[in-house]
Amino acid sequence: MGKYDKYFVKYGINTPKVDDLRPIVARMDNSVAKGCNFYLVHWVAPGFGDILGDYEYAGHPPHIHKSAELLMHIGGDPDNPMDLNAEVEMYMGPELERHTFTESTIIYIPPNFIHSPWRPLRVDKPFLFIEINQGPEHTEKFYPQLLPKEAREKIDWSMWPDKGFD
Amino acid sequence: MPYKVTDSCLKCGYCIKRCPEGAIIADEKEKMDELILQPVHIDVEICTDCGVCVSEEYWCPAQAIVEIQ
Repeated sequence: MGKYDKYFVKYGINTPKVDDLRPIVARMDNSVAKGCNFYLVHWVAPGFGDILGDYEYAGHPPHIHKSAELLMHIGGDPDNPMDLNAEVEMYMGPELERHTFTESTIIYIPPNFIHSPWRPLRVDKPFLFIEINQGPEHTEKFYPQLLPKEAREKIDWSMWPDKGFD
Repeated sequence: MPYKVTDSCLKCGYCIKRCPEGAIIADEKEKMDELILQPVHIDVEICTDCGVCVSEEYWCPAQAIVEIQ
């Protein structure tokens, strides 16, 4: 045992696993290392979008965070690193402005900015999703009122509780 | 210069506890299908025009608070 072993963080080995369906490979926050911001890394593999459903506005529902967030989508082919080998859909703002992209992309989310639904429309090869939240804890507040009733009724809202908001 | 809440408000109620002067007042809750929404208004008698509510681009996630011209 070394004095500095605690700085080698291995998700689920020397840190707790969280209740999450995604194939997480790294997760850090203030509870793992005091003062550390929130980071989450998981793979997105073919079929990932299936768990989010296939209908208009399917996916992680519209929400905000108290701190700024970066959503990194990193293609898994080192010979062609800007090719995501997938197509991702993201809605932005209270207007739910729709965006899609197929390149390695970082989405910057300012504090309190409404974003999502997010979902992969297709995944040809696995890519890495890296979420950086510039605050010590993961906060989330949802805006179901932005979605049409038909979409709201298809979502299992127990999967999406508000966190860190009174 | 006083401020007001416009029709862009999403009635999320997030602003109520964030106003340092307690000038953002909860109105009677509204029902929208299965959702319960929280309309608000700014009490101009309490508001000190500190401008916190418009100090950041998305202080209000809907950008529904504006100065009264």
